[in-house]
Amino acid sequence: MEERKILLEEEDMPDKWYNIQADIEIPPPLHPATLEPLKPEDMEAIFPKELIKQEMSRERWIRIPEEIKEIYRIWRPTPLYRARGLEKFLKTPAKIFYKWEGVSPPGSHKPNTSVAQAYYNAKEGVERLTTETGAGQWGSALAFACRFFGLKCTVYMVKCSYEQKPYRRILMQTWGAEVIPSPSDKTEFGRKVRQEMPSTAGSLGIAISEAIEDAIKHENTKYSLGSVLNHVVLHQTIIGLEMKKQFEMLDLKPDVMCGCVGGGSNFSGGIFPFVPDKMNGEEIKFIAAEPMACPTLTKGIYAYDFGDTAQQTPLLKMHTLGHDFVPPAIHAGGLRYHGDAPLLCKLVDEGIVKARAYYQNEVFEAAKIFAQTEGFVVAPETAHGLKAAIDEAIRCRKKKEEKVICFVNSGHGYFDLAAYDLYNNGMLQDYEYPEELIREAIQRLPCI
Amino acid sequence: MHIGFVVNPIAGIGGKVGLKGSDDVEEALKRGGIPVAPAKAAEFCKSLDANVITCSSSMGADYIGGKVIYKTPEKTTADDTTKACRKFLKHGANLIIFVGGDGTARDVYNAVGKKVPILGIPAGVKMYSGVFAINVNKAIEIVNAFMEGNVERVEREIMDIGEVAFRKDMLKIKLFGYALCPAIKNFLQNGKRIFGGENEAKKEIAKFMALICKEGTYILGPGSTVKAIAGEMGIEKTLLGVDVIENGKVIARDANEEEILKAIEGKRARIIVSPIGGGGFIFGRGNQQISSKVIKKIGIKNIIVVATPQKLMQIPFLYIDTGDKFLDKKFAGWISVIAGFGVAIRKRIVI
Repeated sequence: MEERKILLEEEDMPDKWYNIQADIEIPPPLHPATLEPLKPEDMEAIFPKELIKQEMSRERWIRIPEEIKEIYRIWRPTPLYRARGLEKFLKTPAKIFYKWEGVSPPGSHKPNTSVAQAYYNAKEGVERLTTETGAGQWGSALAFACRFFGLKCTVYMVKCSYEQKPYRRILMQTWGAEVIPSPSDKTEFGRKVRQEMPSTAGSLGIAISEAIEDAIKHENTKYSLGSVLNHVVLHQTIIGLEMKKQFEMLDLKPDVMCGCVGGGSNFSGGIFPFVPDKMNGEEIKFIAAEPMACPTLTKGIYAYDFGDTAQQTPLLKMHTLGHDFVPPAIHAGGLRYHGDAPLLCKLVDEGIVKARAYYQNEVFEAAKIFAQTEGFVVAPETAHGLKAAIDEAIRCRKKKEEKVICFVNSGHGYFDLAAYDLYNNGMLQDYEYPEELIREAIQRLPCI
Repeated sequence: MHIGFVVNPIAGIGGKVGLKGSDDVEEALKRGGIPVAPAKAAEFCKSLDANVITCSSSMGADYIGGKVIYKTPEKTTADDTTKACRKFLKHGANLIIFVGGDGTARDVYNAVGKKVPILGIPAGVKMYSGVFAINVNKAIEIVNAFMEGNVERVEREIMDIGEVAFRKDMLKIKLFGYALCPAIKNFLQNGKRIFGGENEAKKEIAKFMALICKEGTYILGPGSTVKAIAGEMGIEKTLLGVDVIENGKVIARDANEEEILKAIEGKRARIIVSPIGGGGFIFGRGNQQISSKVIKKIGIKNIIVVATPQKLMQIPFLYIDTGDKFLDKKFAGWISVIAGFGVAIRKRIVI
C-alpha cells in the first residue's frame, strides 16, 4: 500500500516548543519613544508576563503546559500528506508533502498560538483580549481560544475582509467575540484614519493600532498578536516539530521547504526546527512565498520600523515596505502586512531563507490544480506556498531530480470561495508593487 | 423615473461590407449591408422592465412599448438622434440609453453633455468610446442597478473619427469629451468589488504621481485621470489635449507632435498616458500627437501608464497602435499600470 498520510499518535505530540533564539541572535526591539532596547516592563501594558518572558527567552526548549496540550488535542497532531495526485499531475520525480493545518476548528495554523496566548493571559487574570485580523483567520482562532479559557474577545477586522468575508465574521461571533470593522469609530486612531481616508479598505497596520489602543485604554484588557513576534513564532514551531517526527517515520528528510509569508508565523513554525540542521551543513532550501502586491521580503528594506500604522509598537528590525504602506485589497488578505517576523527576516538577511513573490492569478492557478488533484481547497494565502512548491517540483522534473519537497498547508479556503469564483471567471487583477516609482516618490517627500 | 431610449436604426450596416462606419448608407446597402442595431435593440428591450420614453417606429417604438415623444422621419439622419435626446431631456429623462456606435454616442453627447448619464448598447462599427456596456445582458444589469439607485456616475470618453479619413486609412480618432455613465457601485462590470469610487481612485493616483512629477519634464496625455495629476500639482491642464510640463510648470499647452518635440528637445522626459476610451489603447487613439517619433525619442522605459482599477477591470488587454509596427512590437508583454497610491496592476499589451 502506498501511504497517503503520515499520522502521529496523540501521545507523540511534542511537549516542548523550539525557541530559535537559542541558535540565532536578532537585533533587539527598540522603545518607540527613547529608541533604547525594550525592557520587559515596557511591554506589560499589552502582554502578560509569561509571554514577555518567552518573547525574550534564549532557552532552546520551552515546555508546553498540559492545559494547552489538552486543547491542542482537539486537532493535533495534524497529518503530513504525500501529495501523490499532484506529483502525478506535474509528472515530477520529486516527492511532495504537505503539513495540513486546515484540520483545526478555525481552519488554519493560527490556534497553535491563540490557545497558548489565551491560556497565559487567563492565568494572569486578564479578562479581555483585543486583536486585529486580516482575512479573519487569526481573529477566528483567537475567538475560539478565548472561549476555552473564559476570556472576552474583541476583534478589529480589516474593513475589506469584513465585507468580503462575512462568514469569518459570523464564525468569530459564533464563538462569542465582538467583531468591529477597522478603521472604526471606537478608537481615536480609527476616527482619525476615517476622516483622512474615508474610502480606505483598511489594513492590518491600522487594525493593530486600534486593537492596541483599546487594550491600553481599558482595565484588565491585553492585546494579542497573531504573527510577527518571537513568542507567536515559538508556539508555531509545533508544526515543524511534528513534521520532523513524521519525516523520521518515513526515513526521509526534506530537501525543499516552502510556505506563505504574511507576518511569517506558519512558515517560520514549519521551518525553524529544521534550521539548525541547515546550520550544521545539511542541504535544505527554505522558500518563503509572498504576494507581488505586498512583497516585503523581496522588495522591502531590512531596517527598524514600527509594527503598526500609528507608530505605537516598538521598532522591530525587519524587512519592511514602511509602516504607512497600505497594500491593495488582494484576496490573500492575511498576507497584506508591511513587515515580517524579525526572526525570519534575520534568516532571509543571512541568506538561509530565500524569498519569492507571486501574482494573484498564478497563485489561484496553483490552488485550482491542487483542488483538482488533491481535493483540498486551500486558502489564497496558503496557495502562495503551494505555488512555490509546484515551481520546485517542475524544476525537479526538468532536472530529473528526486527531491523531497514539502510545504505548510496552513489553512482551508472554504471562506474564500468568492475569490475562487472571480478567478474561475478570469476576473482577478494582478496587483503589484511599483518599486522604482515608490522609491522616487519617497525621495521627493518633504523631510519633516 | 424616465428612461430615454433611442435606436440608430442603421448602426452597424457598414461593418461587414468594409466601410468602417455607417455614414454612407446607400453605399452600404448597395454592398449588401445589414444593420446590427435592430437585432440588438430587440434583444435589449425583451429584458427591459422600465418606464420608457422613446421615438416612433425604427428609432424606438418598433422594439419597445413606451411613451413616444419623438416622431421618426422616413429617412433618418444623425440630427434625429440629437433632436430626440433633447426631447427626452425636456421630458425629464433620468438616463438615456442608445443603440449604436461611436457616431451615435457623439450625437447623444451633443444633446446631453453631462446633464444625465448615458449608456450605449453596442451595435456600431466603431466603438472606441467608453460609454458602451460590454453586452446586452450587462446593460440590463446596469439599468436595473440604476433604477435601484445602486450606481455611481463615472466619466467616460466620447470618441469618434471622420469615416472618410478612416477609409483612407488615416486614423484620426479624437477625444470629444466626457459623458456621464452609470457604473454599478462596488460591483463593476465583472463583479470585482472595488473599495471607494472611481473618483477616489483617481485622487489616489494623482497624489502619488504628483510626487513623482514635481521634478523633470513630463508629456501629459489627454483624459481625466492624467488631468487629475496636474490638478493635484496645482496645474491647469487641457482635458482633451496633450500638455508638456517642466518642474511643475506648463511649457506647452494642447501641443501637436511638432510642439511636443520642440518642448522636449535635448531633455530627458517622460510620458504619462492613460488608456482612452473603452478599447484599451494607450497610444494611437485619441492621443496621436504623442507620435512614434515622440515615443522613440523618450524611450519606452520612460512611459508611465495610469488608470483606475475600475477602468482596468473593463479592459482585458491594452493595445498600442503608433503607426510604426516595429515600435509597437517593442511594447509586447506586461506593463505595470499605476492604479492607486503606490499601487500598480500589471496588464498585458497585445500587439
